[in-house]
Amino acid sequence: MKWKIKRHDVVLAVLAAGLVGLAARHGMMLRQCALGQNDEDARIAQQVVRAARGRRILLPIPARPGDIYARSRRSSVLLAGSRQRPSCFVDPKLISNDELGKISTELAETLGLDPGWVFRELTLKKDRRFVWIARGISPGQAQAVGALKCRAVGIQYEWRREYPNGPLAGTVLGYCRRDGQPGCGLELKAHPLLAPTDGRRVILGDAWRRPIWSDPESSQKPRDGQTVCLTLDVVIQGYLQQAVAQAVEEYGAKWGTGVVVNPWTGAILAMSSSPEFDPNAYSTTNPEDMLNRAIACPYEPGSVFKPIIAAAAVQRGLMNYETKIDCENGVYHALRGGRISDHGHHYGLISLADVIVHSSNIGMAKVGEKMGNRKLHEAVSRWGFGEKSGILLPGESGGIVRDLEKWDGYSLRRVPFGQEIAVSSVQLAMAFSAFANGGLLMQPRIIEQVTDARGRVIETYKPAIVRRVLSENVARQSLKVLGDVVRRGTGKKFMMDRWESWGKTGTAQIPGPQGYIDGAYVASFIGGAPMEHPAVVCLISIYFPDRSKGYYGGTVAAPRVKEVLEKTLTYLHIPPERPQETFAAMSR
Amino acid sequence: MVWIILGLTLVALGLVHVRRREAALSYALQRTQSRHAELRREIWDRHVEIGRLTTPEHIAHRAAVMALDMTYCEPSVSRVDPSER
Repeated sequence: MKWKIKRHDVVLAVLAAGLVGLAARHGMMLRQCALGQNDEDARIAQQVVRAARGRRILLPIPARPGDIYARSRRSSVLLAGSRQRPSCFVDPKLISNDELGKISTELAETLGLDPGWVFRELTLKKDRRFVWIARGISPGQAQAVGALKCRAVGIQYEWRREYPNGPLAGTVLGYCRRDGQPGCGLELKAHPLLAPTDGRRVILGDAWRRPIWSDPESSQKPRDGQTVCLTLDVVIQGYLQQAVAQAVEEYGAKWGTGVVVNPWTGAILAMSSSPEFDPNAYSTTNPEDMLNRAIACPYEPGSVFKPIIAAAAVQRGLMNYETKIDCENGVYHALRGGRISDHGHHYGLISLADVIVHSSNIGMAKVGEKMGNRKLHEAVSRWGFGEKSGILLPGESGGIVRDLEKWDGYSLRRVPFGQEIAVSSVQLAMAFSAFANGGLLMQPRIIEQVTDARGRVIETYKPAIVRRVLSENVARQSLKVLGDVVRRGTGKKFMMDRWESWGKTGTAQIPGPQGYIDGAYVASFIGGAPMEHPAVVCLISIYFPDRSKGYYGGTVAAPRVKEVLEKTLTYLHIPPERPQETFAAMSR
Repeated sequence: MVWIILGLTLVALGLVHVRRREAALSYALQRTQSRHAELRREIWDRHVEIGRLTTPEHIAHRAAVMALDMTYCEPSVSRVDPSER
């Protein structure tokens, strides 16, 4: 067949050549733009690229920040959750002066605002492109605003972090700001887990940015934040928080802290700091009240520190609980060690066990002399004092343990009864847990597990042993001595009706810039129960109580610890060790 | 020539139809996605609301309003191993 060129073939060929030429030029321009060769072409190419980009409409798909849960005996309880609340804004530049009055009135009516205020707001901010009119409105109001069909008025959804339990565990949780950034507490520490990754939907639009075509390949799915489940038990947390707050109020104290811990796993069952802090009202709270003082504020422990040093001396084989110590009839002038007294008590030759039971400072100073600074310093460090416990909370203090070189004759005789050293509540609670669990120093745990948004477990935090600090035998003996403190020593007010308990009082002076402050004390009590197989250990420390109302650990803190433990043991279904009638008979 | 024009017309009509259908589906997809976002928002809202209603404080309050006896039961005889908690 003979091919005959017709006119339309020529036209088609010319058109095709033109198209190819245009495409080639477009490609060249883009290339020149990339290489930055010809200025004019580069400018045109940039315009082309910008125009193409302008057609891409990016719509964010919000992802939800993770929740924080605590537990109760039967279920999980939401401590922190997020939801989106609509907020109304206006672009005043889009409103003409004639419309201003009408729109102000309509908006005010819809949102229940003062029309005069809305009018003033829009008039004063006439030059702005974005003015909030009402934030956190109801979905119904948002719908009503939409029905106004005013292009200057819009609705924007904002995340709001809510804490349904209010101040319960507030200092542990911390808070999240309105812009989603964490402020303090667990919200800050667990932010990498809780933070969501927003998705995006890409849509191709026309020159007026009207959506034409969805581009699923460039779109991204949102990823919700992970859920953090805590070891805290809301019921026990409530018991502790109430007890600490009442003690602080009753004794007019500056602040108080409390910790309840499971000695076998290191799980923190409750952690409290008073004054309390409601994360829902973070913007109106004094920043000092947001402190989690159980980890952030170390203090001189005083006599609650004695059992630790005594146990360390026994563990070292330097003495046993039956070793007799001369308590100098109440006053001891040590060579290069200053004057030490037993505050009006006149003990003579008593056993190490009785030194703990009666809380003799002189007896403990003698224990320090027996150990020497080096062994004493080693013991203090071995029990985890002076270093952070590793709890997953921000702002933890490791306490204050001075370097061995700085220890002198005073340190040797004062550290054993809890002076010249500062510890945090959580450190003390973990140290006493070692008495309860057979000598193991556990790492405190606040996070139980992390799950994804669908509830699948991502990570479980298992109990971790830091080190063995006591042999099982010494731990058992120490626990027995602590039991005697409650039966016949300074902790009688801690004796419980139905369980055998053990514990230690502490009344420490508060140091100031020039020695100890007159009349300033930290009243502490730490105890646990049952005796046979301790289920919980509880510490309450009340800082700077009003001296006229009471300041002894045995008076201020011990009854509160008893109250918390009795409720907790009942709640945990720990069977009583003696029926109530037996206790009544004992009391008679 | 006529056949070519007719063919091109049919192709053009087909393309228009496909384009129209695509646009309609794209619109439907966008509406579904928008509704999906709304529903997610509602789920989050209810989730927090349930959290608020199940706090111990609210439960105690509602029990008091309904005059329910919430006295704690005596502990059972079975021993709970604390290490299990």
